[in-house]
Amino acid sequence: MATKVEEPIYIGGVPTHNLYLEIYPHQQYLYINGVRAKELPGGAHYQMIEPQLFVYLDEICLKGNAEIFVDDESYQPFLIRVNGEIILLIENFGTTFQMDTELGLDDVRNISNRIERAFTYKITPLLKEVGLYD
Amino acid sequence: MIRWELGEFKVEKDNNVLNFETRIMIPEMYRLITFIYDGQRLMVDGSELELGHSIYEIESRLESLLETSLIKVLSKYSKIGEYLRAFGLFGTVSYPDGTTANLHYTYNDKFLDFGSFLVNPPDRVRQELCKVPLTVRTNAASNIKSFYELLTEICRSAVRIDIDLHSVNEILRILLQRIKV
Repeated sequence: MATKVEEPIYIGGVPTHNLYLEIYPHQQYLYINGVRAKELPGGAHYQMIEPQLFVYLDEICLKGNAEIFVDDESYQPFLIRVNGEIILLIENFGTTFQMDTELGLDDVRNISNRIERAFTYKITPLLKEVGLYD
Repeated sequence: MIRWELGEFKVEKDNNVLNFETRIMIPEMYRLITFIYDGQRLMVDGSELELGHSIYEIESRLESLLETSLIKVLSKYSKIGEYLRAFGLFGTVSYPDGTTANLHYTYNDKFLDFGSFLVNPPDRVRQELCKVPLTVRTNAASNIKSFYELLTEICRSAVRIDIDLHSVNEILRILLQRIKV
């Protein structure tokens, strides 16, 4: 997930405003621009939110090994892969958007609403608490 | 009535002139019939077809297809005065239990199309529209958020789409009756 913060995070001593937050399967750690969060200055704060962050991320995951890519601004999904197979893909070709999916529109909208709500009301407020989101 | 299959259906209003074209196949007769209406005359395979009072019913139904809710939604995304609106069915495929197609809506330079799904028999459309996988294309959305808003509008329009497909079938029924197929 990409975020942009006004108050920089120091990564390798470099003040950094553009952040990329990642977690990996089977690791209950948060990584910020490729560095484990707890190793950064102020890392204790980031470590504190990790358990709750993982609970929220679990809530939006689909059954199976799901990868969900969401739009940075609206938090709505544009790519969902389950067990390596694409089940939803929204692409932008010039001025045209195209969606191909294995799902019905009702399911697409339900999943999208669930993910958007989780990001808007749970995940981003949590990140804001420790200065990882503005 | 003999079994027929829809090839393509297109109605548009271009600078306030109503145009309409449809192709219908009659498998048993190996015959493809093309109807073209230019706002004044209805031609069938190049010859004028007199419809009498039925032309008013057809015109009224065609106009109604161009007033459909998804075209109204598209009009909100176009910032210039209206010069074109259109509705069509294309990419039709006939199966023993029905016909699938893509639906295409246009307002000026904005379009929305989606499919394919069952358009005939039309009474199953409302139940199936948002349950089956669809490919959706549009140039009306400016970002992912507005694209999702259009998906919602498609589902909200299910009843109207159902009514419109009934209207298409009724137009085709009148035309085929008239040429005594």
